[in-house]
Amino acid sequence: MTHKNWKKFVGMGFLLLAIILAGCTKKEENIDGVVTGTDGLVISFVENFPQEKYIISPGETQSFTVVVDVKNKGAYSLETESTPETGDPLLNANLSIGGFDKGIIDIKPTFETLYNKNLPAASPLSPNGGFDSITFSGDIIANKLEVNKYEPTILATACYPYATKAGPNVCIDPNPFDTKQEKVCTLGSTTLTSQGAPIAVTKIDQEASSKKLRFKITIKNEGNGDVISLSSLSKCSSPSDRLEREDFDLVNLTSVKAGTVNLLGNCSPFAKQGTHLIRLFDGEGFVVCTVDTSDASKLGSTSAYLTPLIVELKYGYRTTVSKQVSIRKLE
Amino acid sequence: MNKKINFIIVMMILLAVAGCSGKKSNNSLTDADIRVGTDGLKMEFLQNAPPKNVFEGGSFPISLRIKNAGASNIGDDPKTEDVVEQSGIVVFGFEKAYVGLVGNVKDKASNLNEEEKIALKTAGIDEVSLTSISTISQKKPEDLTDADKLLLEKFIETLTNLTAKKPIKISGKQIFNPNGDEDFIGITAWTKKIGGQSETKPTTIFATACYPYKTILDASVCIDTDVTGQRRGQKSCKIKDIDFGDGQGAPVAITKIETKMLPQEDEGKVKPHFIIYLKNAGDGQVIKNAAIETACSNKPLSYRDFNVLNIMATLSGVELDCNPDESIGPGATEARLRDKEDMIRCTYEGKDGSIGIDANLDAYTAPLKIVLDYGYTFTISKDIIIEKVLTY
Repeated sequence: MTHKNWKKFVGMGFLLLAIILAGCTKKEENIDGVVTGTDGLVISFVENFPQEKYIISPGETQSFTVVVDVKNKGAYSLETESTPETGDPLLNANLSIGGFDKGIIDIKPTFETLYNKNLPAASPLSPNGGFDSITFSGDIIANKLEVNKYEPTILATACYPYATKAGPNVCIDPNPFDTKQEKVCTLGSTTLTSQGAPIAVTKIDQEASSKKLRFKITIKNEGNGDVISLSSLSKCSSPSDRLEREDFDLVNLTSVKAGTVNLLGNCSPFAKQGTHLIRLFDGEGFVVCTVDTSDASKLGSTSAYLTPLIVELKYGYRTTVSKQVSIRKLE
Repeated sequence: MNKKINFIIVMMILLAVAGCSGKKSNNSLTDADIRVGTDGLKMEFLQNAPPKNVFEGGSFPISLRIKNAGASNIGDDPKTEDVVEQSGIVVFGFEKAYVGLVGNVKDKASNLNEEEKIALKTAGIDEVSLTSISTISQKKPEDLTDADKLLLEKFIETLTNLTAKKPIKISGKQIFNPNGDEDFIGITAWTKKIGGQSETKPTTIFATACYPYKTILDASVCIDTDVTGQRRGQKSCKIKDIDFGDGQGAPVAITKIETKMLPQEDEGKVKPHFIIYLKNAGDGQVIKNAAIETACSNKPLSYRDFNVLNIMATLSGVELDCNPDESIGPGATEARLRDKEDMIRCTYEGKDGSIGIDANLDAYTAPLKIVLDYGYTFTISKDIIIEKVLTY
């Protein structure tokens, strides 16, 4: 073999090695200064809690433990104030388990509050966010299990309040139809990326008339869970009350400001009169907020300028994970 | 140089292979699913027992291999001395004119075991009669009185019935014995004279098994109280029809379960309702449990004894109401197969006096157990030829 062929072989070898290494998963790190993504609380079962398979003998009682990891990967902190206010939705945040026959798998209680957990928001300094684990302990009662094989799917459901804050720059132009004047910005649509929360402000469309500037703010449920009205969060784990259809898909618009100008009072439509609830249809909703451009003194400028449109949303969110377990009873 | 290249290539392949996770065998001891298949008791004649050709006036063996290939025990488990279950029966059948089970009457009368003595005593043949049988058997046929003939016939019939009928106790498949137990039954038969005009006489040996059996189905079913499907969010399970194509380790199989949730007048309650499809998937006949003994005897069976089985179902340990007569309520119910099939409706009425299930509960998986209790019978046969011993 010539020297040239030898080089070829070594080169091919390295190429092969590179292909193999490329197959390995790589952990991505986002060192961007802003928390993005569509996660809020992320829950998962700790491996082997519950186990995939249990084998029990007649007359035996075997422990059954469910441990759920809760991570706050979003940008909204779920840390409790030292003295939470009455009505603080965080008081109704909880994690519950279900899906099994409670006569056979005896776990009490089946829900745990999240309000006193260590769940600060993810941030550039703490990109992984807050983390806590919740344990549900109980027993499988063999004598109550009349079948040899029982395969329930264990569900863990977290219900929690969350918030989305977006602040894209928008153009405020008191004279939108004056084309002769040189302007620093022009009206148009802005598409946004996620904001570190399951509900994202996805688009801001602007439309001008002679005296008004309208912002159409489109929001979308980008997460895998369900949006619940904040006031209905307590129903999530209530044994006597249950979530009805009208409790879902309601997002509270808590603040809209164009710079220092508060637009909340000039927004519509809302799902219910006297509220600021945006209704989502197929996971998507919008609200139109209006700025009166006739009074330049309120805007603070007579020419076009860029300013952040701060949109704040608050809502309840429900996310679920499941795991099938197999319980085998030996005869 | 070539050696070096080969070495490097081999090393790289080794490294790549080492990086792959190996497939590990993960067969658990307790993973064996014993409740599968549609076999119950299996039975076959051993090779040459009976032989295809036998000689007139000679003896020949009849042997059976029996195997409990299902998941239910027949008779109490001899290993675990479990709860006593009803034993099964195997009975041999043949043309009594040409085949018998008592050879030399004199020898037999003087060589009886305890079981035979008890059977004869029950039939009215005491010790004195036994002594006279030895004498009678030596007489020429034309010298026999009617009383002699009657006594001889009773003696032979009692012993034939006793020998031809064998109780069976045999364990079925279990987790640690996933193949089920096997046993052998053997008897010796004797051929009789086939008549002066025949050189050969074809005949058939039958073996009939009658045994109690159970079909047990353990299923996890979804109880979703959201009858109209209005609720949002992920559910632990979804209501669906469950097909069981592989049987439950018994000749009568549950082939399908349909689950429905019946809304109640009281809107806060629902009643789970199951439609259970049954099928006799074996080659035999389903008989009433109480008719097992009769089926393996010379007594006649009524048509009401056939295709009848008992069904008992529980949901989360609570007995379901499977009886079409609403006044009867939960408990074991009789079902009748038509063309080997039937469909039973069972409803969860409630627990501890309450009606149905609270409609506020989220969907959950509950254990459903169905037990079918019945007798089963089938027959196998083998043709043999009795040959005259020709001395010319």
